[in-house]
Order: sequence, then C-alpha cells, then structure tokens
Amino acid sequence: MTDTTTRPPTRSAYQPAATTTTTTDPAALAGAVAAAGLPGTVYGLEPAELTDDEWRALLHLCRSEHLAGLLLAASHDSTGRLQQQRREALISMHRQSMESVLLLEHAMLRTVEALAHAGAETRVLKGSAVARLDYSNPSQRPFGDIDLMVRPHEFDLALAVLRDLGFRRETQGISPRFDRRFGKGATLVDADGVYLDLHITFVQGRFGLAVDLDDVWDDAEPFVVAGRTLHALAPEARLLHATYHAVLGNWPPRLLPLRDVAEMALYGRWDDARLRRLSQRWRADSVLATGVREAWDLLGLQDSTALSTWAQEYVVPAGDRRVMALHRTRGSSYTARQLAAISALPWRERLSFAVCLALPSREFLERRGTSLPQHVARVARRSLTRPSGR
Amino acid sequence: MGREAVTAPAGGTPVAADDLAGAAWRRREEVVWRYVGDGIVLLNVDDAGLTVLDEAGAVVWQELRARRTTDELCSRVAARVGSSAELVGDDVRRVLSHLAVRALVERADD
Repeated sequence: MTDTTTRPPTRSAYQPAATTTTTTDPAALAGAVAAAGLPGTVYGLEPAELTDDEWRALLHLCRSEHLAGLLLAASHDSTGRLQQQRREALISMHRQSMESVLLLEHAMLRTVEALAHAGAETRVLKGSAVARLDYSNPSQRPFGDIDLMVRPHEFDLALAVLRDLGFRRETQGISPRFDRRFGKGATLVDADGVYLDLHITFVQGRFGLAVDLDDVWDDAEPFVVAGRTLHALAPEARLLHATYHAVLGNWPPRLLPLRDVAEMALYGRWDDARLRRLSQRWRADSVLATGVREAWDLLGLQDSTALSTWAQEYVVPAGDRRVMALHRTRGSSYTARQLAAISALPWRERLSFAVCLALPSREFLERRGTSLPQHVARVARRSLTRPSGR
Repeated sequence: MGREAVTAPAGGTPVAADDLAGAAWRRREEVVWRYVGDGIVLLNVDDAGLTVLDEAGAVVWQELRARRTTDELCSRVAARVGSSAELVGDDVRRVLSHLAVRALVERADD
C-alpha cells in the first residue's frame, strides 16, 4: 500500500525532462520536496542520505511550509532505507496535519450549509477544493484555514451568519461600505481557533478590484465532501486564483501555493482560450505569467508547456511591476496597496473609492491607534507617491 | 488492528460477531478521510470523531470503496496481502466491528 497515487503525465503536454540532480543544500531541500513527483523537475531527494542536521532542517522547513505529505511521498521510494525513527517522526507530523484538515473540512461543511440555509451562495477557494480537485492524492495538500467566497451583496449577510456560528472578525475593514464595494473580504476566527477567510475577491488592491466577479460566479466546478456537494471555482478561475495566491499572497513566495500552480498548469482541465480571455479581462496576465514562471523556477521544472513558454516570454509591464512590488515587499503599506487600486476602477467610482478610503470607520481608526486627521494626512501623503499601476 | 485516536469515538452500534457473517457493508457518506503513511485517518462529520487505522485497517477501508459482504472483504484482503481468507478473517471482522461501532461503515444488505 502506498501513500501516493502516481498519475501518468500527459506526454503531449511537455517535452522530455532534463537530467535529474540531487541536492543536500538546505535552501533547495524544501523546493525539492515541493516538486516531488512532478514531471521534469531537476531536483532529486534522497532523505535516507541526509545527515541528522540536514534531516532536522528539512523537517523544520516541511512543517513551516506544510510539506509533510509531499516529503512522505518523496521518501516512499526509499522507505526501506529511511530510518524508522525518521519515518515515524514524519508520519506523526503528517497525521497531525491531516487531523487538522479533516476538522477544518467538518467546519467548512457546517459553515457552507449555514450560509446556504440563509440564502448565501458560496465558492470554496484553495484548501479542500484544491486538494480534492487538483491533487491526485489530497493527502499531499494540507491547509490551515477555510476560504469561502460570497457575492458582494451577500457579504454582510454572510458575516451575520458566521457571527451566529461563533466566528468573530479578527480585523476590521476600513468601513462596511468600503468592504462591500472595494474590499477583499474579512478574516474571522471561532473559539476553537478555526480561521475562516471570507472573500469578496481574491486579493486586496488593484489586482483584486480588476477581477470581474460576474466571470467568477458564472461558472463553478462541483465537488463532494461527506456526501454534500460544494462548489469550487471553475478550472480556469481556479488556476488564475492559484497564481494570485502564489504571487501576491506571501512574500517571500510559499512553496505549496507554487505547487498548486504547477499541479493545475500541468494537469488541470482548463481551457486555454478561456484562461487567456479571463486573464486579459481581469488584467491579470502579469500575475499569471509570474506565478507560472516562479512555479517552474522554484520547483526546478525543465519541461515546457504552451503556458510555461508563454509565461517565460511574457514581459511584465512597468506599472504592473510596481503594483506587484507593493505585495512583494516586507512591511509595505496597506494604504499604498489600496491607493494603487484606484486605476482598476471606472472613473465614476474613483471619487467614491477615495472618499471611502479617506473616511474610515471609528473602529478602524481605534484599532490602528490613529485619528481621522492623521489618517487623512497619511492617505494624502501616500497618494502623492503611489504607483499608478498603468 | 484499527487504532483509536485520542478524540472520542463516534457513537455507532456495537456489532456482535454473529452479525458480521453474511452481512454486506459500505462506507458511510458522512466520513472524510486522508492517507497518512500506510494508514488512514478518518472523521465522522456527524460528531467530528477522529479514528486512525493502521496499514491493515487501511486495506479493509480501501476494499470498502464498493459494497462488499464480509466474506468478499476477507477474500479481497487475503488476495491483497497474499494470504488466505481464513487467516485474515478474524482481523477483517475486528476492523469491520471497529468501523461499525464508530459509524464509519453501514450495513448494505439487499
């Protein structure tokens, strides 16, 4: 019995792999684990060959990057040689991760059913949806929270339903009006420590506001959890969202989101014409190209597909580069990211956006320990130096 | 064979050994699960009870992907592990009882 399910790659989708190399460099070890089982990776991994210090460093990286399942898969070929103590420690780590995943799926079912009962439609983002739809073995794709998307006009209803379920909002948005019209969503947590990201769009700022939500809601892919049918994004929107998450979600980029991009880019059932159409309409070509390129680079993928070739050749426009830099710099300003969003809005909405941004709620100001005049001055100062994104 | 998780087990009905003979079984829909190494961790969404199966228990769970009688299960597990249905029978019945008590499987008698 194995922990992995080997899925034969579609040979027509890519060309033969380059020569495989093995690494013991700690910085590259996690990348090798994240690339485990992908076709064409130059990374090889022989866990049994690692010294105790290298093994400890690898386990530490795998815990922080949620890669225990993939390390277990990478270790499978050498299971017979992997020391029993190492294997038991790895399985223990993976079991904790999977127990957490199952409890999160239980909480997800509870929240989706409550939202549906109240009349709010949902799309499950990342986590369970990606694990079940995009990985041949869902055990290799852990997750640490629940991500649900609702329609903007049902955002307040959804917040009320979640409050009744025991969730409280962890951070306050600029104002309820700003949340509904221009926000990304809200992060909530319940008494058991279950985190739930309630999304209106994928990311905050310009790239999030440029997403055409009608496109998102026009289509879906169903999946079944414990006999209940839930809905994920359609494959093209799911791949695009994976690149938003990989490119704009964390800095430096996390490995598991890049693995998501690689899984979908290599094996997803997306339609290329529809993917490109959505990417252009959402002004997301730079995000898509960067996500695919970084997945290929960091996971050491040498085989090329039509999408990876396009991504390698795509030149990110200077305006996009400046806006992306706001998401990819430690300590970059929330206000600066929001200000950069204005270029994604039609002219008639820009004044409303500016007013909402300049006049936040009292709760928002109190939490930030600032006053309205100080906030206005900060927004004005930022607006003079903001990247236009064009 | 099957190993209990630290959390409380689901509240299924105890199964007498005689009840297992000739019965048919299937997985309950209300169960989510993942592989962990050679074993499996399962959760019954009715009560959020976690159960961990070791490698032998995982073989039984895998063979329950379709409706099976107890005898069919014994034969299929025996074929998987290269043994006889008689030799694996006690272990298979022990796992089945364990799964039934935790409401992870249900009777599927025609």
